Amino acid sequence: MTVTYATASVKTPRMQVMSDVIASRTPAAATGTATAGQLVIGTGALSGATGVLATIALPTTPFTISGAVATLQGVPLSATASASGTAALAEFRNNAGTTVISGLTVGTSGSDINLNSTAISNGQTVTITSGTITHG
Amino acid sequence: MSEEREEEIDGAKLPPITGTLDIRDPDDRLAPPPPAPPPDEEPER
Repeated sequence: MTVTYATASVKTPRMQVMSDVIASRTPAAATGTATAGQLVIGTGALSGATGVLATIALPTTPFTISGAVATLQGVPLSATASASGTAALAEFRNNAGTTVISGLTVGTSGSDINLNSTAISNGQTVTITSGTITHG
Repeated sequence: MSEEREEEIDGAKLPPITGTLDIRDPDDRLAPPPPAPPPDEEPER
């Protein structure tokens, strides 16, 4: 599946790192105070507050990076579903709710997020037991 | 008790939804395409 990274916050810094490394420069270390982001699971209409089924809080360090793989931290991560519906899309959002990665597909196999059921009921616990993002 | 409250209780009674995250970065698109399948055998004369 193809996910979409936010341009200003992810794509542009990523291109800057690429340019710096080609020029034998050292990319700048991250600055600022870390605040917990979110993994939002929603219906096919997920956009902002629309279509949200479950919002899973992430650790302030959501991933550790090794080689080309980012591994989700703090698993299992759980949330109580806030609405009922069929899960189809998901997004990573920052603490302010701004979308950082969008277009994650949700299904029962072959998706970016694979659940044992996409039928989510309000009040039901939704748990992510592991997660990786692998660089191509 | 409202319908919404009843729905919430029903959801809490259900077994948890569990799943995993596995994203392949879109840079995978830059990988060379897989080899083409072998051409069909020529029909016997």
